[in-house]
Amino acid sequence: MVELVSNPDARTLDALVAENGARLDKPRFKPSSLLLLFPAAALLIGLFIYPVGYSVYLGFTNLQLIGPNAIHFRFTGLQNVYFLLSDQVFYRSIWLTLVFVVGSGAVGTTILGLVIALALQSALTSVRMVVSSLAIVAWTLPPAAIAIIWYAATTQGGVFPVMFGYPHADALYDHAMLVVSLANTWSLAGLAAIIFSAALRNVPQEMLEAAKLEDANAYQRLTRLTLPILKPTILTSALLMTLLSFGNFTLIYLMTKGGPSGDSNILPVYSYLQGFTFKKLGYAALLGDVIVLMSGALGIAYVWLAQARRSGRSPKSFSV
Amino acid sequence: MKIRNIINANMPRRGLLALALTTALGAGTTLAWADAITLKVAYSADYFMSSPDLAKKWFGEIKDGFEKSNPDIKVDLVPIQGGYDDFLTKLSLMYSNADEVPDVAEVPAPEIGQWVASDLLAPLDDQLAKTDWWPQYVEPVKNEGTVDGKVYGVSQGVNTNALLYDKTIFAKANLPDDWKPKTWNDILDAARAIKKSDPNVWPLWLLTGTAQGTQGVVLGALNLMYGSADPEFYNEKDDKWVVDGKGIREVLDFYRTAAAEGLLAPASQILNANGPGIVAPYLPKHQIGITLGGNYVPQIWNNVICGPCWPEGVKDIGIAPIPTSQGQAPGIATAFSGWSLVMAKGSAHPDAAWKLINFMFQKDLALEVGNYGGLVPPIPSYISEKAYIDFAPSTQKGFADLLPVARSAPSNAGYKVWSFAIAQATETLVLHPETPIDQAVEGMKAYVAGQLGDDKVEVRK
Repeated sequence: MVELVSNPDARTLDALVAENGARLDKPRFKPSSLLLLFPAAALLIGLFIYPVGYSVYLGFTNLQLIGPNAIHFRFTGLQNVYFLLSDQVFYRSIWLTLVFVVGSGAVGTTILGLVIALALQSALTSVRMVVSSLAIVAWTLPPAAIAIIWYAATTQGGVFPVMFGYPHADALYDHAMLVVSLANTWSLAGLAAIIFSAALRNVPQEMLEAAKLEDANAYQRLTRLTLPILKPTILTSALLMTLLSFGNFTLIYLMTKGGPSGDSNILPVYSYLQGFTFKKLGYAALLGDVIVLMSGALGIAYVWLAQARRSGRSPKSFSV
Repeated sequence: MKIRNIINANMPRRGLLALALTTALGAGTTLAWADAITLKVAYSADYFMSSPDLAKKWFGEIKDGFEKSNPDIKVDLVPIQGGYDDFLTKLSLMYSNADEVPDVAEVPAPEIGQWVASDLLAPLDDQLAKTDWWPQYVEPVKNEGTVDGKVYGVSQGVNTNALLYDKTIFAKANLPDDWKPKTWNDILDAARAIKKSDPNVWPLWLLTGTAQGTQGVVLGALNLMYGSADPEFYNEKDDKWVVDGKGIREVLDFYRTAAAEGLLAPASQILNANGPGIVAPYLPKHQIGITLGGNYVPQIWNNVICGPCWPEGVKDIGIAPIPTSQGQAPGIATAFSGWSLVMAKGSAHPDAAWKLINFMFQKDLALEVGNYGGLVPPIPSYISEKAYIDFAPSTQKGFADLLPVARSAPSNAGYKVWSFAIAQATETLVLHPETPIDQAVEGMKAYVAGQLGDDKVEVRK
């Protein structure tokens, strides 16, 4: 029989806490921290929560930019919401926004960025430097410059119509959504390529060499090894690009101003049209609230994804 | 920090510092008191006048001249950049901020109705009655700035629109040198002849599309609307907007036919957000056969504005009024829109502001701004002034003669929506001429009804 000898130096937990302070391995709260958090809280409330809250309030008023309700506006309850629900342009705009941010932002930049990163992996150093610099330049160009470049390239006499043999075609006006999506993808691909290049360097070379020894061809190595290992990065990058595309109002506004017959009328552009052309600031604020909700949902998805990765569990299981 | 540290041997130095600071602040406030009257003048820096330098020049002259004759008043110029809609947005935001309200502003006249409804402008009837130049104004222009019987905007002049045709291209197409179309079909026939004689030339330039904002319609489709079989697109009695009727269908059909036969300039040009401004350089290159343009277009080729300089323009470009659709009375049509000066209701110095406005309307300055802004003067006697005629000798009189039949755009809020709807409808037909007119009209109806409500639309058979 084993006798459990009690350690004479053992003390109760409370005694330990009284002597050494609280445990450091669990979250704890000190009231004095509120004072130190106050500046950050003030900035957050002043620059974010208050303006967003005021904008939410304005969404339920009949405020106008200019007109009878510019100075004397009142709370109109759900009137704007009823208008929103019956607004066909709004539904089309939501659809176009999803096409733009998911199609061009998430899918487009991921594919283009991956292609560039994978191709540059095994390229000459000089080629890699030139190509990645060009990709980064495309990303850092101001949206106005990107808009002008793509406007010139896709209208009559521009690079693309001439290349495809129809110099008099106005590709921008015939396929507005496609052209602005391409422009957006082109501008963000540089960032995606950098992210993927870094991630690719973390793919263990031993696994790839082992796969080569097992007679796996390049395609199998890519789809069964590289891409699954890259999956968390791909998801994070896709979500980041989605959020960035959401804010790409300037590009579409300068290229098509919402497009022929609202073909490229994403939600931010439509909100601007309502607020500053039709002067209906109240309704534009409500559309802005919808944008905040959509971005919020995407932001939550991003945070959830990041946290799931940090705690060691990847959101999807991968097979190797 | 302990009190001991503050009160010590460094007292004299700290005391001097504190004294210096207080004096500086006090002096600042005293200076502000002495310079009591500052008038803010807001104007469009690069959209309104034919070139940004001219805007700077004219307003600089105003500032210098006025400050010289009124030494105790300072003029603070506030140039606002951007196109028509952007300029209006920024100006609206200025008015809603008490610190930034401009005492005097130069605004497009169709917007005055909205500003008055926002209770932002001061009526000027009393002051205008005492001047000698206001009674000389023609009635349509006086009415442009009048809302509910009171005058809020004093016009500096208006734009009218007509057909500018290239005589060299016409000669090649065997068209008459003194072309005077009687119906819209005449315009299309001329365009067809031009296309046949030279496929590289753009037969007809006519603005369309939503990218140009409200001004694009005033310089484009609205002219045709006023010449159509039923020019009344706003039923003022019932406060309803007409979205389907003989007039609208005629306008849409014109665009559709022209686009279907390839008679229009390329879409990227006429749909361009800067449509009104980009046409002038193309005429010296003999690129366009017939241009539906404003009176400011031929002025751009003179020696003052020089964008580009084209002295041959005087003999190469002819002017013909826009006909009515079937030649019905009054035979010609045009839309006009002008620019006016307004005074803010919340101005701290209304008397000084009125003095400034009166200063701006002295004959020389008024003629100068009319020329720089590409406007037809509102006073008939000015039209025969050499300064006006010489600015574009072949066309100035022609444009001025259109003033009696010209009609301005309505100034109420719903107009923006109707204007957007017809811009969208004409844009669709230009890009897809195979679209049936019924579909385009349906689109107009859906849009206006969707934005303003079903009770605000009217369908006329």
